[in-house]
Amino acid sequence: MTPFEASGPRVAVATIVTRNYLSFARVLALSLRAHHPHVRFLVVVAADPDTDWQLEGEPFEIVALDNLGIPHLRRVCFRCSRQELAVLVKPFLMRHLLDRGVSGAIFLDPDVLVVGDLTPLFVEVTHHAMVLTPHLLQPLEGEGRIARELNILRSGTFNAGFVGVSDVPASRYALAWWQDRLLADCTAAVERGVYYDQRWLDLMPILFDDVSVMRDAGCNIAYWNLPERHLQVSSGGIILVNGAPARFFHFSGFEPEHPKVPSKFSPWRWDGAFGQAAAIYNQYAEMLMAAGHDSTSRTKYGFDYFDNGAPISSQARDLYKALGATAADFGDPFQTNRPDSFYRWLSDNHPEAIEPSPSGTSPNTSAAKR
Amino acid sequence: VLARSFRAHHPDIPFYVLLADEADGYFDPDLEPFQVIPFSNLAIPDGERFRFHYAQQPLSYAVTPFLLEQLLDRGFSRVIFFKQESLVLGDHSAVAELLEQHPIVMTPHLVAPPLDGPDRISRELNILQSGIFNVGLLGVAERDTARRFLRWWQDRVYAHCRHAVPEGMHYEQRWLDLVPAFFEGAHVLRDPAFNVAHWNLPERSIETHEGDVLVDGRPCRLFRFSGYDPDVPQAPTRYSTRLTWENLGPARDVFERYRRALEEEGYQETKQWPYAYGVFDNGVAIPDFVRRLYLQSGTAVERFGDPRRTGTPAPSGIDRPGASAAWMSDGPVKADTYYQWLNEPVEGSDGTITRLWHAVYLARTDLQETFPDVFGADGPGFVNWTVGFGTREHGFPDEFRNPPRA
Repeated sequence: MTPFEASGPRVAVATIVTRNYLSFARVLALSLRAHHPHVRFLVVVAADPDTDWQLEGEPFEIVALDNLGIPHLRRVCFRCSRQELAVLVKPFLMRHLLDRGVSGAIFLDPDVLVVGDLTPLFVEVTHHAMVLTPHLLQPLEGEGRIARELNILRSGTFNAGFVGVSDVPASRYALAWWQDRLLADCTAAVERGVYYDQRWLDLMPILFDDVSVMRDAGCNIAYWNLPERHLQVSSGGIILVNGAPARFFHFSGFEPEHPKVPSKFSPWRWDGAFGQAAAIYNQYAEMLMAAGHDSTSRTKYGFDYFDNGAPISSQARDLYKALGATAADFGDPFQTNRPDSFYRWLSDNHPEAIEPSPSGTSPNTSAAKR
Repeated sequence: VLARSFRAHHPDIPFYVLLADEADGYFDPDLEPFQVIPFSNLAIPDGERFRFHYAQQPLSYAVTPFLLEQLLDRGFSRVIFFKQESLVLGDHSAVAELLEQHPIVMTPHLVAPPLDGPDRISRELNILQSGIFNVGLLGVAERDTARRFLRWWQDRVYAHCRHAVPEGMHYEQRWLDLVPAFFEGAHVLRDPAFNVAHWNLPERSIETHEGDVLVDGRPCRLFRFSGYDPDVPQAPTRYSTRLTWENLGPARDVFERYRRALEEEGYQETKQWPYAYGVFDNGVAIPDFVRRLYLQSGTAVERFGDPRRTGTPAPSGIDRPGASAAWMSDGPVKADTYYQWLNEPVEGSDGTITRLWHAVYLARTDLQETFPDVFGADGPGFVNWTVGFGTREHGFPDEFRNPPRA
């Protein structure tokens, strides 16, 4: 047992999922527990508490979305796509963890798998205001070197699948700044310098004190760095990367339905090039399936529907966004039964932006209960 | 101006200037207050081809890592790079000392979040588009890590030093975003006294006292004049309209001092001097499109050697003694220079469309829609477009006119 568990500085780990990603959170929870049984693990389920079913018996603590202090939450949930909401919640969740009194808070993406001892990360997090892990740790070589580095320059030097903070003024300042920026812009618009929450991280080391860049090849092993991370699995099942212990994998873009494809974001296929990585990815797919992936992956996203069951089209989202501050006049944008609702405004002015409700849904019946 | 401002604070440290151009008799390098390093002294593989990749300004950016390596090769243990449009206003020993501990020292555009206000986000997005660190000041020490850094940076800027934000590129500068991830010990100098410029002036309080410039109450070290044109003194930078002469405050004195210094050092005369690498060897201007096409053509154009070579006589009115060769255009590839290759009829056409204009056609979907059968019925219409609108839109010199001259 490390000092980060029973006594001494307390570290908590957390993630954010929409319900179709629940199996990922379950696998992450179990993998963390296997290596750090006493570290608290919390999950925000970015879902509508009014309409989405309650969660019980999960291997993690649930943090309610409306407990995080996100201003104008209903409007934010309407405005954002599923992925945008998941990233926007991050700095709010991290501040929430600090408010709960932990000395170090670590965010991990749900598609992370803990495979080794995280103690060095806990140490780093409690000794610095913020800890970030880069996508790549050294200049790339070979044919695709420039294209791969440009890809990282478009999406951000650091990977937002891991962010650690300790409870010091510098990190609270940085989190408040990140919240402000994500509320303003968390889309994917490379030409404007935005890529979800991630490119904002590039500014952290210059704007805020004591931001540590953790250059440990055992962290954040993912498709974008597999060629530089030589993997070996010992007979005892210990995974080594470049000869040192692996700490966590990040299965970004991996779909267990297609275990032969390392990531939907990459053209790479397993062809013996990445050593024992294929076996590890395969094992991860099996864990997800055992954690109910078949059923969770089919669940609907409650914030994709008005309260009468009509789907919210992307055009409706864009129109709402374009209204800016005046959108506040509509109140809760999911509500359809008020005469001054956004839905009514949409029907009157942009009927083409309203998609018909699926058959059998009567008004005021929540979509997610079906 | 930069050299004199540096010498005022460090008279014993040699100051070098890389000339990304040729003196061509316009000035005598021996009479300058700095030591000139000619472009040809840099260890750049296929330097004449590399030089053709970029127009004047990007070329001066892309040579930075080659210059730094050259100075390490000359035996200096620590090298500090300053971008040209800068004024040294204080002592730089602190940077030199940092280079005893660190292989690389970089300065960020901002050292704290911008002041609250409606433009706080657009200002940060500007930085995210152009790079976290500013190349206005960059230090390297003679260490293996710095050597590896320079070789990596050279490889990246060799053909990828363009302004292409959607591709993740912003000249030489955005590559530096990767340095803290790639190179152990790279130091980020977060000191508001360095790299004071339009992008951080709103957060930095400037005072001037009898020639001393203070930033947040401490001596300013390096002031930058990025985008400043002494002929338009009322605009502190052409890159932003947020900063005006009116809201500049006490920093006005610094800009005015810089303007006067430039005038004293011959700005009005030197600004008229031509750029030696802006033309082919027959004096014809090199259009940006031609540079891009060359970059994209890769090994197909390697065999031409120096792409500025034309093998053609100078057009009338341009005096280039010594340039003469037969012009060849009939039949398939006979060109032995890139210039001739551009002007030859493209394979597949009836001889009326040059490779250059066909490349323009391939780069523009609007042309492909308007002239779908460019090698057939739409050929004359396309050639007609190139002669009129095309030449004007692309700013091609008359020598590239279509159809090719026989």
